[in-house]
Amino acid sequence: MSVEPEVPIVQVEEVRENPVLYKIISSDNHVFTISEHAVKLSKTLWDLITNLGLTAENALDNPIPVENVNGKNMETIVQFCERHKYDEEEPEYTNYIREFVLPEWDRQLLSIDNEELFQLILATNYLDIQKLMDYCCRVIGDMAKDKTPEELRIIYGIPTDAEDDALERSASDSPGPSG
Amino acid sequence: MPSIFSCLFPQLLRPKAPKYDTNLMDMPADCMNIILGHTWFEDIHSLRQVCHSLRTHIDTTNPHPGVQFMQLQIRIKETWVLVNYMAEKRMGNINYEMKGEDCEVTQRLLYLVNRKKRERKVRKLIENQNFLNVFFTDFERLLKSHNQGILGSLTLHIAPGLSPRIAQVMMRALSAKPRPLRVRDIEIFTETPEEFLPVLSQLDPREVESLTMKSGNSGDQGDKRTLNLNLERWTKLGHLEIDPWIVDVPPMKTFRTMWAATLHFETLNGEQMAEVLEIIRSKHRCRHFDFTFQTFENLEAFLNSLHTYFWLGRDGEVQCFMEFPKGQITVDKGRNRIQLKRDVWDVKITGDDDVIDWKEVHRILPEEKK
Repeated sequence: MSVEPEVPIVQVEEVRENPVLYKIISSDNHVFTISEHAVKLSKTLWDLITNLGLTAENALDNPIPVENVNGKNMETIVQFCERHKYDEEEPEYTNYIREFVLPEWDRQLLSIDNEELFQLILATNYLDIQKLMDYCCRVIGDMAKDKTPEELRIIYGIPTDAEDDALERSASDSPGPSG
Repeated sequence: MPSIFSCLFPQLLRPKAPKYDTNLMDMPADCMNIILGHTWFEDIHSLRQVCHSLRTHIDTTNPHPGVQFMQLQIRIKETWVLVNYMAEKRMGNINYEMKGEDCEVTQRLLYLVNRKKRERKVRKLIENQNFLNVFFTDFERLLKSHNQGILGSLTLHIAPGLSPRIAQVMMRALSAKPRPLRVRDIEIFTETPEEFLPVLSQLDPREVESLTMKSGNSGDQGDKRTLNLNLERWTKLGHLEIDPWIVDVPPMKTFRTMWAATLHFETLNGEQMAEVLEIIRSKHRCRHFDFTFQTFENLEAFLNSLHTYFWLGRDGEVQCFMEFPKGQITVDKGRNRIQLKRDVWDVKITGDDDVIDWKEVHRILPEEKK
């Protein structure tokens, strides 16, 4: 009696709906595989793929280097894109209540420390992923609730004006590359 | 090392922020705008105090170009103004109170965090500022910054003498908006409703579902005016409650959604009143009426002109509440009839078959009136 091997649901979906996969190399040389639907969420990557003329046949043989994003951020981004690749486009807000809901899965994904979150925002901005940008900014924006200016400065890692001035002074005092 | 006199230099005691390689101030302007757009407008004043750069960014970019209020209720009195609002996931109020020559502003905010209620209260004394001026500045900003979403309800309770200034501020703010403000329910309690007619014309007429304009002083029977309230384009209007000074018959023919009406017929003749009722009843299936007749002649003319008078009493679905003028009418519930007289007592009648026999009413009218 033969027993059919269990096939992960993700793979079944991929085979059934779209087998095209692309390879992405992060700035620290980590390689990621991402499906076509997922990569379309990034305007930058999709434009790149279109311009390079990558097809289903040659996609895996031509990895795409992304110099501005490290492996850690790329991992989060790939997870996010794979999760949201079949999301329908959100309708414009026309209703009486304009409510922004951050799904629990995404909240968990973005439960990282603030500095990493800022770096993820920069990466997301570079890759132009609107939804992830909105979610990251929401998490950062939510941190401001009911905080004093001093607490906000610490949460957001902002130096005081005095520290800022000192940094600027030391930067201007130090000899430049030519000096 | 902190100074000995550090109390004079509080910045020296400020805790150091963790040194991030990337912090909020490293965000590109676009990202910063999105982040600030996701903060609440109540928190902007704290963010402005964090550092020079952030303050400059906020002041130059206006991170909340569009605030969405669900409800806005404003009560303006001689010495204080209270603004109650409901916005996304929170409700708050701001009180502007006269304190001698100064204005004390108290902000209270209620919101939920993980299903737990949190409250924030901030109080500030603004020296040498009239409380009304402080409120007017905020109110104008608030109206200007309301986004294209629908403001669920706007309620204004205005103390005597202040309506012209409120209307002026509203006109200035609303006319500066690129698109008309969308409001669903409007309630204005003022002794000078005429001041608000231009304001109403600045609202999106396709969104208003309910309009109430009343004198805040309900017992006032004095100075009454007739105003032309042009409701022709108010296609969603379902509830209308207006005091005697506002009556405009022709546009009422355009109503398609009216379900309730409170009308005061002081200024209409009987034929006009009957016309209005017939329009509302038959074309718009309105099932709730509240009529007030100010004089006996007024009521008499109405009854005479009401050719389809029987529906008021015979149609079981119609609820009719009528307030008759003092000393003009008597009711005999036992005999199922009412009587019109000039010198009897004040009475309220709930109109249905059990109480009023409208044929009888018609019959007892003077012969020449039939």
